[in-house]
Amino acid sequence: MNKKKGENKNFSRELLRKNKRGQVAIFVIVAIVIIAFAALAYVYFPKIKLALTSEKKSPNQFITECVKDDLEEYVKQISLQGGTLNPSPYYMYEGNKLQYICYTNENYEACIRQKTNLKEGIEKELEEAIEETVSNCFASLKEEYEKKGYDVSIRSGEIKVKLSPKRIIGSFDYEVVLSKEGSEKYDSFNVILNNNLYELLDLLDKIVDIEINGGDADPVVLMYGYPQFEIERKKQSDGTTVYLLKDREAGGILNFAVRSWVLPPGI
Amino acid sequence: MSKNRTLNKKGLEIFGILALVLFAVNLLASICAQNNYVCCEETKSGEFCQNVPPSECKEGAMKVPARCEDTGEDFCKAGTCIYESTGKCEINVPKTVCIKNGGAWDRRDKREIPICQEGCCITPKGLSNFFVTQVECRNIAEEFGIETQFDPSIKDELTCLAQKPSEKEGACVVKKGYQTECKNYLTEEECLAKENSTFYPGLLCTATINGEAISNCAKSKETMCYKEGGSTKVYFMDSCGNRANVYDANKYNDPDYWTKIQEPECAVGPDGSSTCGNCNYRLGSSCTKYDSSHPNTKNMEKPEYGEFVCAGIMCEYDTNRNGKIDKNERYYHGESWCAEVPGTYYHLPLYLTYDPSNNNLTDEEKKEIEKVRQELRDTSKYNLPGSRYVRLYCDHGEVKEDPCAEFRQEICVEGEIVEDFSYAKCVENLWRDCVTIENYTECEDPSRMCKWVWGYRFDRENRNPKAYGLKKSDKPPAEYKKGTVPEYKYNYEEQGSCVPLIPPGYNFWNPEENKATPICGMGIVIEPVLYETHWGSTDKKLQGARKRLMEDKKFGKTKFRANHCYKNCYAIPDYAKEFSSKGKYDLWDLIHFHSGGSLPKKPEDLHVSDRKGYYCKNAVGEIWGKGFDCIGAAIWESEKKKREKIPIFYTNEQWLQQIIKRARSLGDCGYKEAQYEMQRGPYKIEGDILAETISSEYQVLTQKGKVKEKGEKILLWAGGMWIKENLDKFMENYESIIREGEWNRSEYICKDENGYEYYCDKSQKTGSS
Repeated sequence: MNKKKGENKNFSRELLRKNKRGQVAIFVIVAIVIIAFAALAYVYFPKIKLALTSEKKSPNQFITECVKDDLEEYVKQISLQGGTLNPSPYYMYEGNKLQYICYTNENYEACIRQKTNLKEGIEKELEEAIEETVSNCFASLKEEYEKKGYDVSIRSGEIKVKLSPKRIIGSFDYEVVLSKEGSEKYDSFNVILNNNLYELLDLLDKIVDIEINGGDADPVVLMYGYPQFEIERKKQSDGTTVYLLKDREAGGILNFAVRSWVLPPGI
Repeated sequence: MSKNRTLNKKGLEIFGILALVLFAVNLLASICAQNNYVCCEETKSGEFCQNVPPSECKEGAMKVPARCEDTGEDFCKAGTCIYESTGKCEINVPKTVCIKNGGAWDRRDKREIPICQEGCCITPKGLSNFFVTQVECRNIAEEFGIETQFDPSIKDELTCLAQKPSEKEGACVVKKGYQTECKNYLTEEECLAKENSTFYPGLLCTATINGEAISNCAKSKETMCYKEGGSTKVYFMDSCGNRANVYDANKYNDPDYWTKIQEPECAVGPDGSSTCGNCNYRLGSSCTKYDSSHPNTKNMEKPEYGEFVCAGIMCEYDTNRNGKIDKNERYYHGESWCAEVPGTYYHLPLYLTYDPSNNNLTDEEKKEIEKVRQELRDTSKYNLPGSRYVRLYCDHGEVKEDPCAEFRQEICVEGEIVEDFSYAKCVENLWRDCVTIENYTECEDPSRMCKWVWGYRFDRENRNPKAYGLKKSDKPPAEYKKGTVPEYKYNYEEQGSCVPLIPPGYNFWNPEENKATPICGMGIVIEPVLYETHWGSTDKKLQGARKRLMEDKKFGKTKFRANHCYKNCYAIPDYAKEFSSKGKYDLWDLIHFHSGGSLPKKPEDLHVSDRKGYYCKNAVGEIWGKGFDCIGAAIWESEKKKREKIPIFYTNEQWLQQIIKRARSLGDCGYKEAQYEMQRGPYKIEGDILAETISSEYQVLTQKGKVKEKGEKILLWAGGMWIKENLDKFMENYESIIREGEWNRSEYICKDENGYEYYCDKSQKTGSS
């Protein structure tokens, strides 16, 4: 019996030791799973990230992140359509309307410029396009900070979009005052996109000038002068020429149509 | 006694084209009737300042009954539009459009307006230069808060981009306690902004002054990639990790190269280099890590120093579609060549056309061009309907397409501008002028894209001389091949048509979209063939005459006979077959016969006219025997005055071959057997045999030329083949009888609106033959 008891005791101690090791192993495994899950959630669910880090995000950052996607989307649309959100007159190319920058309905004639001062035109269109987005974003900002116990005062102002070399800058002349224990004033809100639309417009002007003068806007020649851009030219059956310009690094694009000095089929 | 005159009429028609000819006539009529275009300020589809029918003008938009370029400055006259805020000047802008968009309009050319002159806007390092107006340059300075320099003397973009800012760069040594740090390529301003810094203008961190090193950075064998001025070059790297001078294997041991900042002396071509790091992105080379398996570096030597080389950014393309990349199918960046598109002529020479009086071509090159021009004459093989020329080019490792204008309004030509570097371009197909040229010499001039097809002229005149006095011994020179080219005495220089060397196309598959008038109608021929019978024929005699015309004594069966024909006989099927290239008699015999000589057999035993009228002017009656003379009724007229001109064609085969050649050369006309693939859409179109037909219609005329009876129109020939059963039927239906003894045939000849002759009632006569 004692032997049995002794044996039992040894057995119990052994069992206990094994149990402890097992428990530790289980705890370690569970801990790993929890950490992994948290990491995945942090990476793949930006809202959670936002919530975790929002305390540290300034109003400027908030507005930038809120407006940026929409601004990028409008810039993309404008770029795809030849510098405007509402092309007219236009040429239908692969399902997209392309603005005729320069057009003539006749043959053997130079085109007449249909769209001028593109840079300012685009700036104005973008300003109008993002107006609602900006307004909504500031409203969201107010809501966000009020939830955190701030008093928020917002004075709305002018929305400006500017095309500059290598970038597009959205500036919002708003004033935001956050009050909690103290008072913080924010009055410089900008969104900056890396985009060579400014340079692409310059290239567009040069191509259109060549077309008007009856020259050959040869992509092979142009690529020597503008190695940072891909330039493609597609001549269509009705005499329209479609140009597809793309920035090799920044990825910006600009597509447009021209109809000039057309050689018709037949007599 | 009834004397009937009949007209046996055959025509070559290009099916659908006849309709198109009529259509063309109608189209022209409608354009003339509606020729009241206006200059419209804005059309319904949103275009500004276009010449359109009034109905296309937007409601409320201004319109003026004149061409836009003739309207006043306050309307649609185009000029230069100046935007003072941006400094932009745009050309060919109507005043209304300019002002609408906030610009100031100037009637002058942009080049005459000072504010519009572009120059080089030089920016500090970090930004590329801009070729813009002075106002734009100022705007850039303001935008970036930098100082720019505007140089109006620089007149081109490339030179501008190569300009560097005037601020000098150098080594900047910064003391931090007991340690020093050194950075290359800083400006003085940037350097002195740091504490405890010393600026060494124009020097590198590895420099020594009076034997003393300015820093503890030393030269190393490492290299790096760095992008500057649009190109990513290979640079030496010093032991501190700074970028030194551009990698040049020959300069590694040159102390001066590790002391001063220097421009590279070596250059890199499109092949790249393992010894020189002065890559040029524009010319197709860029800094690349060397890898013996990478397509761009595998053919290069390993660099002596470091891991990087200037690799050529090349393209590989299976141009000949044989499933592999041949040696000549690797292309440098910037090379361009013509795609081998089925239905086109592959790789037309760059100088397909050249000025014969002013060119630098060698004789061999000219021979090669001539060879190509001869090959292009084969319209069944090249420039087929639906084909389109395409130029390809290598753009930084990627092959891109640059299609030439549709409908072969442009063609692709290529050559080598330097050895092993091809250059191609799309050039205009200069076909439009061809049809206005009336002689061989001008037409076949190497500066033109035209070719001469002997035979019919477009004005249908016969410019051949009269046929007389040719002796049997006056055989043509050896270069005239039997039956293929006109023979001796033929006015080859003027008797023919000038047609495009490269037939243009049009969208024949969609007539609704096709607003252009096709030129295929120019290839239509309507040829009236006239027969002569005995003036005394009654019905019975008529039948007798008919029998004579129809029966072939030799073969004893009904056969169409040519020997009673006295005008345009070559249109009769198989006329003078024996004298064609496939026949057994020499064509020279027929030519000699036309000038009063004799045939090897009687004409009636050959499929040849035996009517004097075919050979003699104002003569009638049969030829007796194997020969003839033209002395007849008007005995006092000299023989020369009586000879008819050398006919345009001698045999039916010549007639067929030449009208087919001419028709098919005019454009997407006629029957082209080869299958071709449309450039748009995945479908193919087979050649349509009804695109090229010969049909015939008989007309029985009265003595006075009135049409008494019309026969059935029969299709005899289509797509290169006689339709035998129709040909037989045509012969069975033959009822044409012609009146004999007509002196003033011209009294019964009318001309239609296209200038074609036909027999008509005297009372209908509107013009002379």
